[in-house]
Amino acid sequence: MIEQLRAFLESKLEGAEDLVVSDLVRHTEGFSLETFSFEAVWNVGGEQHSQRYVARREPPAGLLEPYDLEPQFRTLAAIADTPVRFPRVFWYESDPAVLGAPFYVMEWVGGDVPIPALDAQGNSPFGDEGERLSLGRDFAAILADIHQVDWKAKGLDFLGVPRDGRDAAERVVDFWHGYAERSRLAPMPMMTEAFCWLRRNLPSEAPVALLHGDYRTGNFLARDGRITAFLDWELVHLGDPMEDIGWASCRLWRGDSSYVGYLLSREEFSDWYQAAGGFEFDRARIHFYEVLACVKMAAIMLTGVKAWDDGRTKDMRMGFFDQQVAGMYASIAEILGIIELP
Amino acid sequence: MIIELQKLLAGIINTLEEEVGPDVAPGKARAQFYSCLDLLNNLAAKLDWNRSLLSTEIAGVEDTLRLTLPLVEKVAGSRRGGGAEFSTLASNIAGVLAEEAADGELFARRVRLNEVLEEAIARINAPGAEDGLDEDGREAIEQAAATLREHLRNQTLRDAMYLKPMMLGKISQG
Repeated sequence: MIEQLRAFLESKLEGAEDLVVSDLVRHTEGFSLETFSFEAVWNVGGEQHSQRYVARREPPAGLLEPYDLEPQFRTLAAIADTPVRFPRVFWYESDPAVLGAPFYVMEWVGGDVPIPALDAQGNSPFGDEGERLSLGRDFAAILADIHQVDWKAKGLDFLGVPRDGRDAAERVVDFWHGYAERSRLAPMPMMTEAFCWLRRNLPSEAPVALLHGDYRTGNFLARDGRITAFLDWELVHLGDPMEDIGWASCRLWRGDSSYVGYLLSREEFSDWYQAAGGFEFDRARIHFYEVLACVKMAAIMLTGVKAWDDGRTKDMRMGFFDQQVAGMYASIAEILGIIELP
Repeated sequence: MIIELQKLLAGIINTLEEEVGPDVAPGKARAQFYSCLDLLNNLAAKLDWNRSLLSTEIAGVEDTLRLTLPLVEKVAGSRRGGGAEFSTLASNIAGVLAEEAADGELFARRVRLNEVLEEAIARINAPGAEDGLDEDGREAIEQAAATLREHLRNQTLRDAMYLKPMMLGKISQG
């Protein structure tokens, strides 16, 4: 793979000579795109340059299939001059012959990926209250930055423009309903109950903004109490900003804490997001999108089960959802008021 | 319990052999690993889903559908302009309740019953399902929806009793 990456970079870096690629690392965080980081050193006119890059490649099977990296690459390229913190992207390659599957290359950004769960030693993912508050403020503010992107001026219409808030809601309900149906291996009574509820409770009015689509703890890099970059833009689209807030607030990302994403209270989230220029929190719409969030997560789990059942992957991180999707159904039941969970 | 048990076990064994085994360090860990794999290989052919769990779920769906059937028939009869879709649903519920599960086919029986349960949920909770119904019909459709939700509640709680906490942190961190 080092040679393929070297040849690719050589074709992209104008005037590069003596290009060497080294220190290739495959990263195991994340359940979706394959991620590799590597060091590149080259000369231009006798002057040495070096940079660490990250290549993100479509996997043979995954939780967010079918994959199409181009929309996220085009979006990230278009918003490069905004305050949104994310790794800057350089090149997208759709030809699977180059690296085995389509991929894009972005800058390497330092930091750790906190997971919303206690670590093996029983420690919280965030060191102390100060770190939690600092990361929480960044979490809220970066989301506000994303939602304030002038998507019309940036030419992001290719993501699909909803007519209004109701159309935005209907589009995502249709999308995740179709997603769940494509992964159907068995009857899904709880999913059907939830989709009926969603279709009966579509919100009517809402602004349309650029959404990350998978905004949560586990998808950002942190260092020294600050978020250095938001990652994993596979689900970027245009829609109601409360959709990102509902997803970020999903029980799954709370872990064993009472905080949104293990990070901040709902009041802190609302206050800091709005202080950073975000939209007004709308409790009814957030509730709608929290129901959708549970359904979406269950649909994603079912996609993993289907990929594993089809034999397209031997990755047990897909197969284990066969049992764990029952927990997501319990979350759906809770948010619909069917059961109460502790 | 989405995938049939034998297929699930075969996949687990295959993943362990091909994806994990080569990376297990020689010595004590590898000896333990292959002992576990050997045992799993031999157990797999002798295991099936817990009959008591399947039977409890099956009885729960059957009871729910029995309670729902007369309500659906009432809805079908009260719909102005015809209630063909509810008549079909009533017929499907009656049909599945009349079927008997052959010995050793509990998993298939569970699937079949849940298919009809899901059809009932989709029909009864569809937006506009109560349109065109008289008062009795509206009352019946509300009762049917509540009956189905009560089943979802009971089954969710039963499933949750057997669910171990997800090891998301360890799985994500590798």
